[in-house]
Amino acid sequence: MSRPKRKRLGGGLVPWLLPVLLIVVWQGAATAGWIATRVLPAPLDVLAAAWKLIGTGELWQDVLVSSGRAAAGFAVGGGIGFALGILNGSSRGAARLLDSSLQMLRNIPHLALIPLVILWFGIDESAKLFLVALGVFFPIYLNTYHGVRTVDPQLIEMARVYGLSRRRVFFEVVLPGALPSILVGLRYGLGITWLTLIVAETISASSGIGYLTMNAREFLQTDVVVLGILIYAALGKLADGGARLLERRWLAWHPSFQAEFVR
Amino acid sequence: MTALFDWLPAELMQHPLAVARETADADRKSGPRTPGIAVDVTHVAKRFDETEVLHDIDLAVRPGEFVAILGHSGCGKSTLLRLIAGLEAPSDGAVAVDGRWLDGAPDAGDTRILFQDARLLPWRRVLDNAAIGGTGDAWRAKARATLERVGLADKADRWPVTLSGGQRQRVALARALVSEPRLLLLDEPLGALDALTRIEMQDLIEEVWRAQGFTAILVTHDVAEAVRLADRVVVLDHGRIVETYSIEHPRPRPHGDAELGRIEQRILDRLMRRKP
Repeated sequence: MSRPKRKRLGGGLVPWLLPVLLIVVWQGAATAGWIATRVLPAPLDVLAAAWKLIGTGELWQDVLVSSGRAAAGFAVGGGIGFALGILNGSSRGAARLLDSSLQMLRNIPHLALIPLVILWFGIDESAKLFLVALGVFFPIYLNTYHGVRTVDPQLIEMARVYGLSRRRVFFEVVLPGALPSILVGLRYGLGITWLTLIVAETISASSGIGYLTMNAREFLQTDVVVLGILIYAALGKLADGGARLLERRWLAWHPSFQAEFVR
Repeated sequence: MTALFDWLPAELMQHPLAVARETADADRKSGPRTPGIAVDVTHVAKRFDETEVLHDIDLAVRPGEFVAILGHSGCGKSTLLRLIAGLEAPSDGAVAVDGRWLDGAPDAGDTRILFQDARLLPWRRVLDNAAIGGTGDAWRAKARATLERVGLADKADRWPVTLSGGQRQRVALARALVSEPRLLLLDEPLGALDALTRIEMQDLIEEVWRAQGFTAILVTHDVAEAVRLADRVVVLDHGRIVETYSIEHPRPRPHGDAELGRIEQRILDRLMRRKP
C-alpha cells in the first residue's frame, strides 16, 4: 500500500528537481567566486535586492504600472480582435471586405514599428499601449474568426429547427462552439502582451519593470536586472495560469477535460 | 369515455388509427395528448444544380400515421424529409404541413426532427440539451420528466460526450418530445447504433408514438425497421416513389413475426429488383 503513495509523492517532486539543482549550483558557484557578480549575481543577492525594493515600495509601483499597461493594451487589442473575429466569422460579406487586408497587416512584425510608433506617439503611455494592442490583436482575431467559422453547421441547423432565435443561436451555439479556439487565442495573446511590453518598456519608459531593469543596468546592479527578468517571467506565468483556469471552467464539457469529470 | 374526445377535431375522430390509439391511451390513463397533423407533398421536384434528386413526388400522410420512406442511399429520401421539415425549398411543387404551405423557413412550432447523429450541444449538460426548445423552470421540469420517460433521468447532469451513442440518441428523442410535436421526422436516427440498441430504440419510438399520437415520417434503409414501425412503407428509387406497401399489423409488433418477415422479404426483393 505504501508503494503507490511513495510513487505519487516522488512524481510530484520530479519536475522541481532540475530547477532546484540549478539554483543550488548557481549559488555555490557564485559563493565560490567562479562567476563574477557583475556577470550573474547569486540567487541570494537577487532575493536581497527584491527585499530591498519591496521595502521601499518601488517594486510594487513598477509591477503595478507594468501590469496596468499589459491589461489596458490587452483589453484594447483583444477587444477589437474579438469583435472583428466575431463579425467576420458570422458575416461572409464582412469577411470578404476585411479579412484579406487584415491578413496582409498580420505579416508586419509589430515590433518593427517601434521607430515609427515613437515618432507618432513619443515615449508616451499611448506608444506602449498601441504596440501591445497591435501585438495582441492578431492572435485573438485569427482564433476567434477560425473558431466561429468552424462551429458545426449541423448544430446551428438543429438550433434553428428547434426554434431558437438568432440571439440564442449566437449565445448558446456559436459562441460556446468557438470558445476553445478563442481561448487558444487568449493564451497566445497573453504571451505576446508580455513580450511586447518588455521590449517597449526597455526601449522607452520612465516607470515599470522595464524601466527598473534599464535603470539598474546604468548602475551595474545586475541583481536588480535579474530580478526584473524573473518578475516578467512570473507575471507571464501568472497570466497563463489564469487563462488555463478559464479553460478549465469554461471547457469542462470538452473531451480533453473529461477524464477528471467523468463520475 | 366520449367526453374525453370532445376536444379533438371531428375529422380526426373518424380516422380509425387515431381513434384506436386514443382509446389505448385513455385506457392507460396518461392524460390528453397532442394529435398528429397531416402532411401533403404535391408534385414536388428538387434539383441541385443540374441533377434532379426528386421527380414529381406525391405523398399524403394522414394525421397520426407512421410512414417509412425506404430506399438505397442517395435515392433522395433524406432530401424529401428536409423538404417536409422546411429546411430546403422544393424546386417544383409544394409541401403542406397541417394544411399550410411551407415557404422554406423551418416551421418550429409543431415539427421536430431526429437527425442521423444526435446533434447534442456538447457544452450543455444532458438536461439542458433536452430543454433547448424552450426556457424557464416549467420547461426544464418537463424536460426532466421526458428524460425519465426515455430512461435517462439519472444522466441529467452528465456531459453528452460521456454518453454512449444510443443514450445520446435517446436524449435527442427526449429533446424532440418535450415540445409535444405533432409531426416527428426521423432521418435514419438509428443507423449508427448497434443492433441491440437499435431494437430498444425502435420499441421506444413505437411506444411514444402510440402514446402521443403524433404523425411520424421515418427515413431509413433498413427494411426490417420500416416494416416493424410503419403503417405504410414508401419505396423511393432514383427520386421516384416506385412502390407503396400498407402494413396493417396489430401493435405492438413482435420481433421475428412471420407475417412481417414475409412483407419484409417482398420489399427487399423489390429493392433488389428481383421479381418474386
